[in-house]
Amino acid sequence: MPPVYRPPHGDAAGIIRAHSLDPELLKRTFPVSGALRATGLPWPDYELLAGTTSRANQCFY
Amino acid sequence: MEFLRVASGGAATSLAVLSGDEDALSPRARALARLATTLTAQPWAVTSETVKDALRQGLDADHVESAIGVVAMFNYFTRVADASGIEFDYQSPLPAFAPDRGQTAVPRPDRAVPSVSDGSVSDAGPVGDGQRLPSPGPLRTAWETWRAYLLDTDEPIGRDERRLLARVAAEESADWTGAEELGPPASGPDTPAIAFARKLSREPWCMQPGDLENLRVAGYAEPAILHVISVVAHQNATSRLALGLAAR
Repeated sequence: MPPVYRPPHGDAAGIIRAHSLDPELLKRTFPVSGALRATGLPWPDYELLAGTTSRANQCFY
Repeated sequence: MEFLRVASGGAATSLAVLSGDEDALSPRARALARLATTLTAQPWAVTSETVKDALRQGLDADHVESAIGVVAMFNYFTRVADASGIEFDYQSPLPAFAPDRGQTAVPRPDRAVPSVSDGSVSDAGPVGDGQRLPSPGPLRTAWETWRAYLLDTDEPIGRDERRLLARVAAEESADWTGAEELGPPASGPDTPAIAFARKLSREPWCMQPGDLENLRVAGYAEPAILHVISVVAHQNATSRLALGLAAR
């Protein structure tokens, strides 16, 4: 995982903590983003798509 | 946008995305940005032309499938972030993004308007009748495993309620095929959970703490609220995945 994904506060990212009430949900959800990262789509393209989607939804995430 | 800044090796692309300045993007980035924006804001309007624009910029079919998956997944993450009220974890030299909470959702087409999923012809030209799931492989397996847990689990909310909530999200995405697969629509006045699903699907940027409070007052405990959020966000993602893939 690129270092930029590690939050400076040292804890898990908020989006992960948001799922923490259900560890099984956590285990089922994040492998999907892992699988997407492993598809060979270049990292800049991945982040461009993510950023544009967030902007379209007016979300900081 | 901080991850984009690092991934792209500079601030220019992030700043263009932050400001919505498509003209400042490279042709490849512009094609991807248009795919992401259309699939997010009006998934029913994605056509084979939208996809071909990306293919013309040097992406292959596998990359396009992945791109649609990323957009779909971030339609999940952004809704979970907005509904649960998490805060930004990272520091960045970029200007802080100021969400436009007054943004108006694109009006949803009514059922009579041809949709991608039924293979009809729209004003934008013929649309595809392709598959609604990724090609067999790790991504498809992971997506189906995720979906099975969210739709076929009895606790902390029941299966019937999960399908009703997901159906609302599919309808709000104009994913009629997906909606029908989920069973009959809700009847009667909207329950607090159905109203929550409708708002989170249509205007996630308008979510407020009071929306969670409405669910608590209606008797939902925190684990149940997490599942309400996740089911609705997941169906928004799945409908976009399906409509995007079908348009290829």
